Amino acid sequence: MRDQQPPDGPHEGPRPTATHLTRRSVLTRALGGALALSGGESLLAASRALAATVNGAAIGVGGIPIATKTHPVKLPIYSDNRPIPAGRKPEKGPLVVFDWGSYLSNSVVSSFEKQYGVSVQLTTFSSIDEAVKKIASGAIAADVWVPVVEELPNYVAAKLIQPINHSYIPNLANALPSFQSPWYDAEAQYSIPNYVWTTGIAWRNDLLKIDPASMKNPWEVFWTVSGANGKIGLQNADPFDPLSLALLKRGITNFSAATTAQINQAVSDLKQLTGKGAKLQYTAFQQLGTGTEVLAQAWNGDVLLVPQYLPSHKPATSISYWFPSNGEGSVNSDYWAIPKNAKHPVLAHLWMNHFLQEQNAIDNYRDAGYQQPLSTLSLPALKAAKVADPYILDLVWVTPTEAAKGLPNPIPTAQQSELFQSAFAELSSGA
Amino acid sequence: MKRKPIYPRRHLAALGLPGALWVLLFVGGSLYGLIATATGTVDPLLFQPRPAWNPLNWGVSTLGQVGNSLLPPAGLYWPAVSRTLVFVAIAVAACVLIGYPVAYFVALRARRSKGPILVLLVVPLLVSYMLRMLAWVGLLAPDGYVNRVLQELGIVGGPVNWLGGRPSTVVIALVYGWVPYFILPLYASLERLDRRYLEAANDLGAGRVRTFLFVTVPLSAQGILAGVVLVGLPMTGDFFTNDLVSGSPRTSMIGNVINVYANSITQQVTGAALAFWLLVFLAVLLANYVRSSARAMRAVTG
Repeated sequence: MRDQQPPDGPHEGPRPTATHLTRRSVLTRALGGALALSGGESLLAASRALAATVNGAAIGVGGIPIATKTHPVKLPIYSDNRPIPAGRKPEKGPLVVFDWGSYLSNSVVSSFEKQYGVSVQLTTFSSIDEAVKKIASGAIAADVWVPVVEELPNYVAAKLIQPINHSYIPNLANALPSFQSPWYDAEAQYSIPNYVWTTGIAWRNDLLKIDPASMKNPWEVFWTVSGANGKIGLQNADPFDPLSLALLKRGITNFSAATTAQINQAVSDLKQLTGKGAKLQYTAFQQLGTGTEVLAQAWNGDVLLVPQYLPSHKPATSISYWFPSNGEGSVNSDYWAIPKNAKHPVLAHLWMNHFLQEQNAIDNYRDAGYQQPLSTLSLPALKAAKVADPYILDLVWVTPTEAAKGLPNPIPTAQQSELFQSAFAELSSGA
Repeated sequence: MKRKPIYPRRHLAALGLPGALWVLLFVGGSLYGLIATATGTVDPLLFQPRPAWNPLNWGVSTLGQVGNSLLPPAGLYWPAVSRTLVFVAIAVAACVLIGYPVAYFVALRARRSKGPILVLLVVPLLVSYMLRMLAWVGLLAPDGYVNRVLQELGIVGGPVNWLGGRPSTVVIALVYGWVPYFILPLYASLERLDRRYLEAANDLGAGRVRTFLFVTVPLSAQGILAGVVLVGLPMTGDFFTNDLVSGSPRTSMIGNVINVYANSITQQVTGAALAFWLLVFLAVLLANYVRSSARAMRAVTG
């Protein structure tokens, strides 16, 4: 979640109060102190010099401009970190795939093994911090892994991942145009797309009578709903997730330019919900299915799983999901990347290419519950393959418009990252 | 003439050496790692903590700032700290009120039923804490058995939202999770009680209640204290119980705050610092307990 920092002065809005600075900045200063002691003074100075920009983009780690959707960035390729040459033969394997748990269909793995005559070792992780630690330390000799967009410039600056050679990945042409050259990695120099998902409003329509679509500001439903105290869930997979809901409620769609005052306001707004018992949670499918929650800020992938947890007498139509059709809601994605020291880089490229096929996208949808941003993947194809209840598929399908126009979590500067993390910690601690 | 010990002291020390080394390595080592992380720095590119293994390089500014955030009245995390202290105090008191009669009955009154009751007390400990708590999520769900029974009995008119961020649910879950650990050491203490003291109290005219209050309870004080320490200390750092039966920030305990930072991408040093201060607080309490136990032991052995 790092993105363009607005220039200082009138754009940033009113300065935070001294009390706010004392309360929350005590911890941001703690991180700043740790960074300073580590010799990151120049890094801090660079990230805090808000006026330091290149073509309007703030500078992030390693001098790499911070990408935004309106300001895509072509990531640098360093002389000591070049892509592999074209035309190499695949290695003997095994290919080590490092992915989130329950995030990949076994059918995709099996089909790759069969096609290339190599074995695939799938190792999983449960947090990006765990994954980065293991990749950076060499504890896992991964050949290909699934990192997060918000930290892509960090991985590039740290030379943790290697550029890719597109000659091995002709199937990149199957991806939606907005993902063939994504905003966070113009010309897809380091990544190929994995999944895309929306974060919208999910609710049990049999237990709660609301209609966000008819509201002037549907995101306000969390604050105006009655009869749902203690039965509301907010996303917390990323510190920015709950903040994005509050920002959208206030009509703020330029996440990358969110000011400190706006984040403070978002925390205050969210505290109104948590004060009434709203929970912060990673997933919502079980809670919505069992009825312990009736309204949740949820991934579309969660809605796919809700029917499995509904009481046996409740049909799948008991769940509803709303996401703005104009795409002005949270849409995020992730990607595959190859560690710099991958032992089987050719196989890694071939894996990426293999992943971008329609049948594998259908298998992944069925087994992992997430959608690959492929132009060759269609809603009728998913329905024909019976991957899920057609009613649910209609609810959760991410249209190309939504994928292209959606609002991703920002790639934050170091200062923004501290701000989001501290805001989230303040919110989640019940302070 | 002073008696020679049966075993030379050095033999006893040698017997204790493997255990001591184990503790030094796996407890002391991890504690040192925690302090090194809390006083260390952060990789500016990947935000991974860089522990300061050399004590000469320990930076205390983060520790100081984080420590301030825990203090009343304006510390950012003082609400979580105060909430933790209140929850733990109530839960420990409930453990004493529930656990003491059980331990008393099993130690001093049960005859044939002693064995089966002890088995019933121990069996839950064979199941992991996490699974025992998960079972409660189903029981406390809106259509769970707890609500069904309460509605059948007419105690409530409709399902109660037990899992909707209620402090009472968190406290009840803490008591449920930890009360067996309170009962067992107390039972051991009451088992060792010299019955002659009780007989003597009766002979001197004390009734059952006076004997219990002025003889049994004081003699079992160390057992009560041991049980309180055994349940109170882990409760204070508990985060999982609140996550499971509430998940709401309004019931967040200090363990939840540490968990948020420990799992964060950028602020694990802060998480380590918070864990360090929690450790210091608990160590002070534990030291008081150890001192009190030693004093009690000296009073008995002379």
